[in-house]
Amino acid sequence: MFKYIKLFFLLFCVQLIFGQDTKNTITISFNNTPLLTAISQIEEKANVKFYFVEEWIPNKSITATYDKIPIQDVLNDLLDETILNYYILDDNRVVLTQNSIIYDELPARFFREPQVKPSDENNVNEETELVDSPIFFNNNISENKKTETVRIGKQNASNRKRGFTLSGYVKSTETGEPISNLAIIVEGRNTGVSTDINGFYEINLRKGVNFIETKSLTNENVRKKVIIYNDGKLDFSLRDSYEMLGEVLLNSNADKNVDNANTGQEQIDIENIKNIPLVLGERDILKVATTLPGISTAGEGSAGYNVRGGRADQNLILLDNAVIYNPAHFFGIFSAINPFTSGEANIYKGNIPAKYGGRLSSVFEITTKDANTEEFQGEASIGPVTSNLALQVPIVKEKSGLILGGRSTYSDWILKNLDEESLNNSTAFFYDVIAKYNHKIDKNNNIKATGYISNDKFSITSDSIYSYQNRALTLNYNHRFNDKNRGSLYLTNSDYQFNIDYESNFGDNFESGYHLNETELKLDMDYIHSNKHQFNYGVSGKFYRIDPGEIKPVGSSSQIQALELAQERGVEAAIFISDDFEISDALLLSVGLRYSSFTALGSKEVRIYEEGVPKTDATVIDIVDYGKNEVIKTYGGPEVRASARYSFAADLSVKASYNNTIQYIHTLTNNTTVSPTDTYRLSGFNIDPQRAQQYSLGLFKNFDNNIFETSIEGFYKTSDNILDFKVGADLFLNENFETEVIQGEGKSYGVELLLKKNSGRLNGWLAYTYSRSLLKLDGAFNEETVNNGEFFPSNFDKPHDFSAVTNYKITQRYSISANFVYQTGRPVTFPIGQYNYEGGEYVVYSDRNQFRIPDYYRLDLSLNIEGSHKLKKLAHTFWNISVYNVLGRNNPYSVFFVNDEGNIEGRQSSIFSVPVPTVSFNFKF
Amino acid sequence: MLVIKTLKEKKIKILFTCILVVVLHACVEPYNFKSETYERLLVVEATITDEEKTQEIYLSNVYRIDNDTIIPESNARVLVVDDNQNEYEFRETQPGKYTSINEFNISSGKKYHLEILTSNGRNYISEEETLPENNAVMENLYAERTTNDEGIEGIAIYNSSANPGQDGVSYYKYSYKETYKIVSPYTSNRNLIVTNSGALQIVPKTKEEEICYNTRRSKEILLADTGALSENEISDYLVKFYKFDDFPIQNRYSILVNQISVSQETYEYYETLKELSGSESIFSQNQPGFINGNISSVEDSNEKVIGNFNLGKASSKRIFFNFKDFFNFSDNPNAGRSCEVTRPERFLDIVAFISTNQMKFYGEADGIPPNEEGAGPYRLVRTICMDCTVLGTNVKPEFWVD
Repeated sequence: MFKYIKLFFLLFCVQLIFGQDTKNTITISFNNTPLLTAISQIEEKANVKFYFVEEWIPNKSITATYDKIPIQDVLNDLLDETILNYYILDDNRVVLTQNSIIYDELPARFFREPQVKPSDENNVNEETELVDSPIFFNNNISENKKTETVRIGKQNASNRKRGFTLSGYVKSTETGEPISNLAIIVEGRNTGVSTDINGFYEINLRKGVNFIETKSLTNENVRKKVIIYNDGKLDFSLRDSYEMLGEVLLNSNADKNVDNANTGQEQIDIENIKNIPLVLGERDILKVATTLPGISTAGEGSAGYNVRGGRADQNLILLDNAVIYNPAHFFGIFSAINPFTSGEANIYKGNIPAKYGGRLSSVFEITTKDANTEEFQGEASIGPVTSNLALQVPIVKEKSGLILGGRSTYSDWILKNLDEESLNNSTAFFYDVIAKYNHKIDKNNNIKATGYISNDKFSITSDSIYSYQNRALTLNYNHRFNDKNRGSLYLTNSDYQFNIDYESNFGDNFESGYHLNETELKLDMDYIHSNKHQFNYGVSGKFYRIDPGEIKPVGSSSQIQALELAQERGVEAAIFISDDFEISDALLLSVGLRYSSFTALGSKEVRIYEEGVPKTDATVIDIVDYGKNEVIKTYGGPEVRASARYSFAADLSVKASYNNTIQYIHTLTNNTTVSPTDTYRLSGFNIDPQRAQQYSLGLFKNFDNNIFETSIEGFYKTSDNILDFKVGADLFLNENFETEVIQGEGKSYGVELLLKKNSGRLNGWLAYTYSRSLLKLDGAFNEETVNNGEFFPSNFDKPHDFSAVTNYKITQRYSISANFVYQTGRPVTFPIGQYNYEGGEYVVYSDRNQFRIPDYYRLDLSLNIEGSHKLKKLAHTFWNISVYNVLGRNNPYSVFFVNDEGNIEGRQSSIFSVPVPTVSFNFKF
Repeated sequence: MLVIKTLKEKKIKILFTCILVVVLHACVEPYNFKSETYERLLVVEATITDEEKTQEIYLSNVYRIDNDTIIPESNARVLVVDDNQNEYEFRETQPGKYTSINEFNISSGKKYHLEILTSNGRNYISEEETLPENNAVMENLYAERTTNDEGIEGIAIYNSSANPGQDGVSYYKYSYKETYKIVSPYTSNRNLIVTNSGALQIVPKTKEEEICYNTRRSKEILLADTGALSENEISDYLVKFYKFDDFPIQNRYSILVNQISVSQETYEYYETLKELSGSESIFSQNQPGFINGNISSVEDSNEKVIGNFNLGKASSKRIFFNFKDFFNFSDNPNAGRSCEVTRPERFLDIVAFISTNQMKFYGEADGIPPNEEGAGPYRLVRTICMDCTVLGTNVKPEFWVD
């Protein structure tokens, strides 16, 4: 089907171009005639002379009849499915070339001004096609090293524009799937773009000759000479490059790091994370992210990420634009994002695009792949703890498809079947499921829908069961108005809840829970004004509904009194605009402005506290009753997202940025690490939004044709109204948690170094970060002051953080990988003395975070075995044999002190203190 | 699953067990910590009640973690002052223990504060406190046979309290003194001693070693509030649970439970103290820190003072029960605490056991041929099985009712 459309398209073009030459028709018929013979028969009949090298002519037989058909049409037909192109020099000379060129749309100007002569006779007739060529496929060695020439538009004296837009679509020759994240680079100039998730790209070229090149890990690299005289289109169909599989671990956009204007942007190459050894063989996008500079976790197996010294609740984690509140399984040992269905993961930790907001520190933008609309595909993995299955199901060929991913653990089943009594009552179960439907209505319209759910249930003590659930739903409509304007409309809904079931023999059984729901409508528009200005603008509105906690008795004997905290409601709205402004080839500005506001809505009884004294139950001077949806308080402000890049050379640039952000939703936690009972609460009458500003400066340099990427980035970040809590604060089921809150100041700064090698037998990256994350809690009263109101290290302040992720390919099929991680131990508060109080012994704690637990280091190794690459093979297999924590380092996760029968004893807990071997098996079909 | 089934199930099981033990239970090990810094902070233990009596206040200092000695704060001047400037003076009766010179009680409606002047000339003062408005009385203290969460049988001691005519949340703190009777499994009216010349000699016993009593004060913080309970009363609050084979309940047991109804602030102080000293979850750790009480230094507002000046309404009750009120003796086959009789053969061994008080004389072998007890001339048992004074006092407490 696709081929016919293409053929038609091509014929249409050819006819237009050669409109004046179509007198030359031919009547001829072939019956299983070899192509070579057919060519000579045409020579005779049509009185033309072909010039070609005989070896080029493939073994192809022709059966067809043509009656007064223009010779071009006949040639198109004959040479279809070959890599041959032709030039018609004049009426009776035809040159065959072994090149591929596609030219699928003519510039608008051409139609409007047909009187313009086809100037530049010397090569305007060049017209070829890149066909969906099975020849590539069959001999599997054909390489496309020659540089082809593509002409876009026609030279036109009246067109004085100096730059034009080239856009197009890149797909895989084998699967027909769009290739996202493919870098398209303009040689000799400092620009490049990457294809979006749907395989589309758009690039500004200077009038005249440009050399562009595609760069990708997974596909062949193609270089083309593009002579551009007007806006136009160029589509690519690229073969998979199997020999490259598994070689490069990160970032396929060869010089994007140097070229774009964003500071602090990371991209994770999801396809290739499979080689990275991770605990229990689970591929994990977010865990890989923590090996990049500036991103860390509070501890091994702890949920939550700290980006550039920010708290774990300051990250906006988006899955297809919907917020995922707790993307963790098993307390954070695994992340809840399915690596098999995810197509792209971008992390913004420096300059956050203006279209995103609501969190201070970072945006994790994870996009699910579009399903293959041409053929059914699947991928499965079997590991010791979980199994994973992902399917791509075409619904309407070339129009719509469904991608389905599911993952579940069998740990619960195993626990139940163990002889070990202490584990029989334990529960640990989780699953996550994702489904995405994409439907291409036509060239300009498509819709997408994603549904996601993840669930966790566990019990450590026999009397209580914890469970939590994330849900996300996205509806997305994309429309292309014209070459310059595109828009996306998103409707998302996110839901997070947890429950605690407590059952004991002492008459206090209860059920307790928390529930958050948010719905967002967002319009995101792109306007490509020129090659100097590219605008992104839009508006969004989000409605929050939070049931912050409830408890109810279970069973008739329970004396627990039912309690339900009042629902919190609020609206977060934003408008945003940004412009990528290319002042010159060297200087690129990315300037964004966002105005966000938050309105806390009733119904709610709001307490007004006396000024100048601590907020306690005793200092309430008034209680104001707000009705349903009545405005309680509004906060807001402008957010600047400005970044600039200056290129000294194609592979050397310096970037600087300034960002400020506002956050209206906060976690309540008095744990030193993220715990499953942390709740999110909204800003309101007594809780101000958190605000932050960040300055960063970076130097980016690539070596050796972008094989090596290096960067050094520094940042300085300050934040205000960071939520912290009084010692021993009770936060869950606390209607008036403002009495427990201390709002303080944060400060963090650091330098991040990254060295990446993207290809070759040895590849991977080294990342080192020196950073500090400090907090100052200096309230007006003793109980609101920590460490005498001076800056102290936050719970996740780890000055030295080094990660090495390496992969060495022994042969096509075998590779070994190693990770090494070193981090300064995180700060802790230790007892410094002991005292007797009413018969018991207690400890006095040091200043907060005055000490550190021992340093953390870990080495992981893995052997990766790819199945053979035979095309006919039913499934492509992949084995991963890994050992996590090879050195058996007993890394303390936390150090704490217990009062055991009146004696103070120090305890250290660690999660994976022994080497953990794992085998996992994956196959694709 | 396909792959799993083809492999030997047993091996897989073992692997899973290991992984899950690792994942779920992690590893908790002792952590040796050397305290590098040390601050000698003042610790104030002051709870004054509405009972007319000699009130007590304890002053001590923070000591080093690895050092087990309490450092009393001596020679301080301690005063409780009410809002009419009436001063109730305290006098040090033991190191660190201050008792009021006169009996007095706290009456409701008045404000009180605490003043301390330490021997090194530093002044400390508490905030003004009042007695919580409360009519709380302990109504029913009782023991009941039950099972704990692990399914083990034992005896639970519950309390129910009423608070007539009082709305809103009430806060309670409990403490107890428990006394239990100890009966030695073995008795003899004679003793074996080592004489000054090093010889062994049998002498008549001079002290009571068969029946003793031991009294212990509660160490844990016991708190209850009526906030989450349906009525403003405490019913069936669990004060203490003993497993059926716990030593204190093997004979006769008595507990005196004190209930003090306290202010919300006091309750929260104790609650935080309890929370920070409790066991931790492996996966999350409470943020520890200094707990601010209501006592501060006059000279230096940044100086940390430990403790809280508490006022409370007191109520107390005592109960007695016997093990056999709830269980048969056969329910605890482990009773007797490995009290085997042995007959050491070597003279020097016997001298060593007796002189170090490890073993006590039970009887003479009296020509019984060597048997499983041994071949020596004396039948000895471990001291703990014979002499209850190593576990308690042989003086019967005044309140004791058999």
